[in-house]
Amino acid sequence: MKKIDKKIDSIFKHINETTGNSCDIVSRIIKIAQKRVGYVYLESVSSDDKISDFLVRGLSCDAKETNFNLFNEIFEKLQNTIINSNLKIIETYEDLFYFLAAGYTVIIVDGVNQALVVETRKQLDRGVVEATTEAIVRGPKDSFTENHNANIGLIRKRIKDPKLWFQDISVGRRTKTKVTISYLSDVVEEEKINSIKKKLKKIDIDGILDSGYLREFLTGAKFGDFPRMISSERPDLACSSLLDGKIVILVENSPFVLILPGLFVDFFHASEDNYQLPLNVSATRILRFIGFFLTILTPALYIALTTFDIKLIPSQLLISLATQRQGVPFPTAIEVIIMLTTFEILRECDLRMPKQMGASVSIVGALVLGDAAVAAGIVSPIVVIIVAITSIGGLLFTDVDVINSIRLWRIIFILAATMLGLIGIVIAGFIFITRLASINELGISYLSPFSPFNLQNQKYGIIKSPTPLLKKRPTFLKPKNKIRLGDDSNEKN
Amino acid sequence: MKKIKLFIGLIGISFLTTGCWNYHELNDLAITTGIAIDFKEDKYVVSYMIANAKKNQGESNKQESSSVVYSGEGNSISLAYMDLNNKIPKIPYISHLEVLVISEDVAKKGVINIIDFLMRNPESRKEFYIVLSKDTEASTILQTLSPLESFPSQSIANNIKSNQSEQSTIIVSEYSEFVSKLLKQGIEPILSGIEIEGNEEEGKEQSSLESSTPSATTKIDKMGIFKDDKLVGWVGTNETIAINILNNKAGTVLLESKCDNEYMAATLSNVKTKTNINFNEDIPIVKLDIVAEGALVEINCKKNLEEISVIEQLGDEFSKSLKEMLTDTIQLVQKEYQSDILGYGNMIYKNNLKKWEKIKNKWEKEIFPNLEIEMQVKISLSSKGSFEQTLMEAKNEE
Repeated sequence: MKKIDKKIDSIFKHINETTGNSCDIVSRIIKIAQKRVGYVYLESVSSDDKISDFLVRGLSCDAKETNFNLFNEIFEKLQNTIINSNLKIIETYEDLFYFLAAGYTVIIVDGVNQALVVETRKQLDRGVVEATTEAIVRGPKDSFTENHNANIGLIRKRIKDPKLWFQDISVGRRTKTKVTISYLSDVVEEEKINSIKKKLKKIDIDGILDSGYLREFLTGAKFGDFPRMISSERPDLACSSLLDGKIVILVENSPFVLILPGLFVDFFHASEDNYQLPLNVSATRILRFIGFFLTILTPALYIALTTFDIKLIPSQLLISLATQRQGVPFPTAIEVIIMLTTFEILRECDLRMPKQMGASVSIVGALVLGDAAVAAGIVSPIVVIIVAITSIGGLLFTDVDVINSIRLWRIIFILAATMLGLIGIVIAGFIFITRLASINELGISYLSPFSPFNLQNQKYGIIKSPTPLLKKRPTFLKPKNKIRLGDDSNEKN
Repeated sequence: MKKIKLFIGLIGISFLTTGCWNYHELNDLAITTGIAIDFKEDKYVVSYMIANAKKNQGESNKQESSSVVYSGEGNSISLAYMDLNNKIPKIPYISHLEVLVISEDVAKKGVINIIDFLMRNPESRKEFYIVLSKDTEASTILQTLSPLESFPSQSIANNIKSNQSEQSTIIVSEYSEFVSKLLKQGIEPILSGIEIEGNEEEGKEQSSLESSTPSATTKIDKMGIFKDDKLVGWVGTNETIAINILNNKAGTVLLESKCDNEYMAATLSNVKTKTNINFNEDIPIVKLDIVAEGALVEINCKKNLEEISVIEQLGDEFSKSLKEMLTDTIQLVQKEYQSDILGYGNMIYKNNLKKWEKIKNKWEKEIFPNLEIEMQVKISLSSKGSFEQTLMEAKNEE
């Protein structure tokens, strides 16, 4: 923690040495009241107009001859004239480099080993734009961007409660990324926040570039598990989670915020659900659940039914299936895996291709491939339909982690079905449910509200009740303050 | 850690050594939907009708299937089956069996010998239909193609199913029911019989389907009566309807009657028969109570249908006709065949075991043929169809 030198020249020399004469350093020395005042900033992150604007106005002092404390005078003067900027005093080189890189201008006065930093940040991001990954038909369309303050602003302007607290932690040795934890202080228990802060402080890594890096550290998720936190681009989803009693983590330079804890049912909810009639929403959620089971179980059920449990198929269908399989060289499981792999590759292509080509490739590819494979005698027609149903069910989920987990479990079910038929599927299903039910994030069980079962909380599961009935927060999140409306000071638990 | 490894190792071994023991690919199976049993020249002939044969050998793309019949012979059913197995290239799979056809000769010899085989096989369903084949070989029936259904077994099974609720002119007999009737005391089984109308040989060819009338059709017309496990006689449609009504298994029945020497007809629905057996000092008396709702379908005589007394009169006419039909049938069964297919002995056995023990030895020869039956039939005409008056009356009024 080296303290700043007193002489301007030595400070400038030190800065140039450490940054290797970086091309974007701009440093100037001006004279105010016969004393040398220097300022330095990085062109790439600081905005020139702001600098020239306030420097010219702020630093032009009266020609008063004061020998000492020019620094304090400048400090006071700047404080009075520049009302719309951050102003700090720093003493060490570490802080100096940090603020330089953050876009601040450093003002140095000869003879004092402190420096002033003024915020003059350039806007280097997109501005508030429409969400790209999460589509919504009716509702607010703005999304988080890479600008940290703007993100916090998008949340603040929706929840105007003073009890909405934002707490900062810096993570990463070289990137020194700001990680902000936001929560409603009279709803969320302190221990949860402390445990998150502890985990964040334990992270020893050179850089955090996106909120995704924090996943491994904040949750204990292993390979192929369903995600335990929701990452979203949409401020209205983040705010409704905050009101429910969840914790939102914003990471600098990342448009995706993390919402803890993410439960299993949260992947079947969309933020649109709050903007539509409850009965329609319940029907749509049931549809999503059906889609989920279709996408995981259909190939495995097909394999199990046609190779082990042939008696369960009605006679007409069986004869038609048997004739379709004439002349197919591969066993059923291999057929299904070949077609599934092809569809997955097509889906992956869809993500990588630029927008203009994306949609047509996947649809045309799927149809043509399926048809051609049938005509060539490699697969039977029914397998194409099974795989099409599977893929359609899978398109309901947009979160990348959910898609990966579904893929993994689908393969596990297929393997179980190939070896033991329907009994294998039951065993694999048992393992699946046990795995999900044993996940415990921040003291909250992953499969709430289904297990432990609580009749009251079913309102937050599949069926949505009309809004006037939703007076209490979901108890499985263990909020301190259970009632949403009304005076909370009487209801502290 | 060691325990986990041991656990995973054990599960892995169990998958490798025991997995897939009843794994069959679909194209390895010969799905059999019909079985026929014949008796020719002192040998049993067993035929399997296999449903997933490829239609055209040339184009591998066609997804339609046709059926093919393979036969094997031997001195017992198992030997015949072994002979059959030598001819079929795939594994025969009888879990989807729809129909079993037994020829007349086999039925006259005794059915017990051939039933055991299917009962014991754990793969068979035991819910398929049994029919007898009259005047033809059983395997021919499985070879007669029908233009309306894909396979012969399907055409027989669908014929039975549709008849069951619509016309009640067929006895529906499933395998498990047949066997249970064979084994019970005081009841004899009955089976429907199929015959072929038309040219048998041409009916087996695909070309017969290409003309507007098929060369051969299967018809379910007669009913076979069994005594112990042997076939003793055939009866016709009227008797079949009567027996269906008496067994309380009738769906809709078309009843014909006469009024002023002209024909009239009604369809009866909700036919309910109540049977009571009372004892008069060890001599049983059967009381039958039959109630039905009738809907008039055809009337050719001159009556004024708008008066209630006329409707009641017509109802009484129908009741009389039905009573006549039922009485004739019971007389036939009692006197000529002496076979208790209506199950009255079984009713006594179930309700009054002591009395049954006394009379069971005399049941077949003495008591059943002379059983007194009191019958009461009540048909109420509840609907006249869409036309309120007879045509003649309406014509007069104009």
